[in-house]
Amino acid sequence: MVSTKFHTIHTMSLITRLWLSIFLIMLLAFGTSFLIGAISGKKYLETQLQTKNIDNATSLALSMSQLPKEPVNIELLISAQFDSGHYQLIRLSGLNGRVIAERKSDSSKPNVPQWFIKLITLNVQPGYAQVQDGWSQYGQLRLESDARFAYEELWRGSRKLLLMSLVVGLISGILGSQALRIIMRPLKNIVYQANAIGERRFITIKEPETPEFKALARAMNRLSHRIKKMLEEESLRLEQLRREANYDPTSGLLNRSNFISTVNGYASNDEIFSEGVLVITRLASLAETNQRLGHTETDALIKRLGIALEGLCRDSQHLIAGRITGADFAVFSSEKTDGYSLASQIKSLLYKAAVLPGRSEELWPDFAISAVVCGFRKSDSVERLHKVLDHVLGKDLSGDIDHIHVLGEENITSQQNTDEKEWRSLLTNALDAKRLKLAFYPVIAMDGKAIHRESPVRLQLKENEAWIPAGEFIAWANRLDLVSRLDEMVIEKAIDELNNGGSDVGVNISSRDICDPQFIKKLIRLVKSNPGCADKLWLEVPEQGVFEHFGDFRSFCNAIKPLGCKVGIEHVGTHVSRLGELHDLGLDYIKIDVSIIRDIDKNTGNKAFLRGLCLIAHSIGLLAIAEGVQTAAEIECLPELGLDGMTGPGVKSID
Amino acid sequence: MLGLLLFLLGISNSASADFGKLESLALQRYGGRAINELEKTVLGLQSATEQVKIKQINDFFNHHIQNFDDDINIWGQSDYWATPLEALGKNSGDCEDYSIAKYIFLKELNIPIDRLKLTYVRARIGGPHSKIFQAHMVLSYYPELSAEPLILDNLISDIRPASRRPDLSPIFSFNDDGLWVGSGTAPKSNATSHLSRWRDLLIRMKNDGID
Repeated sequence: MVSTKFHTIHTMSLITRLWLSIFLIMLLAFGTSFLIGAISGKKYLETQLQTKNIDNATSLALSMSQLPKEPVNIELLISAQFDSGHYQLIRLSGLNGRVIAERKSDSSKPNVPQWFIKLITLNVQPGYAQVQDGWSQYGQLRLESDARFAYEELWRGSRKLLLMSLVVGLISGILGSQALRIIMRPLKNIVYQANAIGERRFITIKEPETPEFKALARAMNRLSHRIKKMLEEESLRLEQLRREANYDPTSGLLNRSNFISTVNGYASNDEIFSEGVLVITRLASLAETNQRLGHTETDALIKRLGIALEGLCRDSQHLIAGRITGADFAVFSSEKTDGYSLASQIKSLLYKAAVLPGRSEELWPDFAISAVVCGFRKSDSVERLHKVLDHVLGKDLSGDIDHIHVLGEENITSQQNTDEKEWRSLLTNALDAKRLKLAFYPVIAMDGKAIHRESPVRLQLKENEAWIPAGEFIAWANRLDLVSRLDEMVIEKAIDELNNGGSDVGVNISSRDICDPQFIKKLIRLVKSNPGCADKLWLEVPEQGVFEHFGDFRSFCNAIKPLGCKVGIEHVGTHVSRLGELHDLGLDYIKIDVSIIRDIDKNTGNKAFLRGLCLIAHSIGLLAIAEGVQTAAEIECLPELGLDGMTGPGVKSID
Repeated sequence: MLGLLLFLLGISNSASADFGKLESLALQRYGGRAINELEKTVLGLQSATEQVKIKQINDFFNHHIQNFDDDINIWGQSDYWATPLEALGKNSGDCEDYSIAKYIFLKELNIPIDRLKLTYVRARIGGPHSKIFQAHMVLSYYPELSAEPLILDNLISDIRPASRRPDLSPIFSFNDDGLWVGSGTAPKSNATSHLSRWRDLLIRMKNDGID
């Protein structure tokens, strides 16, 4: 009993405790002042009543002594006194104690509760006086005043006191809780921060003014800073690791194995790819160049070429560049494009870059770049195409080396304009008619349990035709500004699915969406009107978009996270050095890009990288999920590297 | 508070006079002569009859307060009730002072107070046909409750029954009977401000050493 009471007091909020203590203090204050007031009031009234009794008895006795003692006179005098004043009793008794005359009021009860009278009974003595008849004694007069008014007065006073105590208590309670709220305001932020840190969201807050809170906030801010710094350092180390494993140290471009796994991973993903282009350029006579310029100069030349290609890829997001052999540079376009113009663009870029700094544009006579272009289809692989292209380049090496070969090229450019019109009508019609559905692919934890289902969109461009995967239309949807609309409809579909009792669903949010306040508003409205779905909805944004529009992504997280949705990043792998920046966003998961996962069992460098990546993810409370898992060997390798889940063609749900 | 309580108890029980205190106060204030004699008289009367007590006390005060005068001349106040100590000390008093002193010491000598009354009377001065009246106070003694009282007056040395005092007509009588009944409610502080003249006097007397 005692211990539970103790417990309840300690679990009360400060405001409640404040009110309780004010209530107790007021009770005490009221009790005390009631007691003091009642006692002193009682004493005062008793004295007054007694004095009145004595005085009035004396003056009535004086009047009586003067008059002839006829019964009528006596009766009249007593009645006159009694009726004109407030008396309980006036009695004249003779010397032998016999009552001569008496007036007594019917004991009119004071308008006061009985318990109150019992509590403070007024103890008033009657007033006595002698009545003379000439020289002889006539009798004794006894007079008692009516105490009714006194009781009522005391009662009124006590009630007023109670009311005032209540008012004062209420006012001090209100003022006190306001003051407490002001004092506590900084604490609220600190509690918020502590909770955030508990969720491994390492946020910093503005230090409050109150010294005690300030110290606390400073300590926690320091913790957040330290974590952030540690994450940054770790990310940089990881980036280093990634570079060593995946990049060619001389040119800074992707190395052969990484280029192949990136492009093949890309090309095997129906959701983002349908048809692309591969360009391979070769520096003729690299050995000769090496001889002529020396090793250092040649490395510098290759570095310049690498920088040029990197710049190109940065400008056009759909391009990926790599150095696949000493003299061979490859550029892959994930979009269908005019191969010849792409190759020309690359060649002129490389020639420009090859010019030594500070020299004129003239190059040594035998410097030449040849290029081969071919279309890249889903079934293609880089290795196979490289062999073919290698063959073509090798054949031509004897003759004209500065040229562009286009293999199996169709004239795409001429079709482009008609395509655009056609695509617009196709996509718009499909969206208007809501001819879209979600395909579901399981994302499972290492113990085989489902984490959620990825839900790429499928469109039926014309009624009753085949459903086509996203890779075939997403580039057009992007170009035609239909992505937001499409994504919105995808979320509606996903919520429908959840409302129909489906398990958790992951939905892609494009980079363009997170920069679109209109879209975010609609998303919030959709989720809010289906509150049961929020925690089953996993929203993922591509890594590229996250770091390109980091401010927008932060606002997106701040707007969406409070609704209860899960937010994650997909295709993580290229921007690991910036992973530390995610420390205060409260994200739930990252999905690691297929280019890192592909053949992970054979790639020692990527293993170390992936292990580090998972470590960072876990330290800020993120699930690490592998994308595009294909083989049993890959699956086997993942748990020991620290991954929490996986998805891909090789992953089957156990449900 | 405690003193007041004791004082009240003293009134209702046996009255007693602290002649030692009275004497030293009288010496201090007035160079006291009379107190000694008063003490002797009172002690000598302890076992006397009521008749003797009445006579002796009446004579004592009529003789020992020699100057009959108005309060304004004695005390500088128009109406001042002096305690016996003050009256004896000053050797002067008005009618109240005589009557009060007699009342107090008769009470002291265990005369029941319902037989003693201080009486306001209208006194005709200068013969039965005089038209001059004066406010006066005497002490009435009732041998029986319903009997005719004896009048102790400072104007004449004889004690006569009321019927033999045609010059006096009674107006009002009082004593301290009932005055203190249950006076637990008497004010604690600033006592005199709430008291009647009569109660004020009783308290001052107590300070003089007469209970």
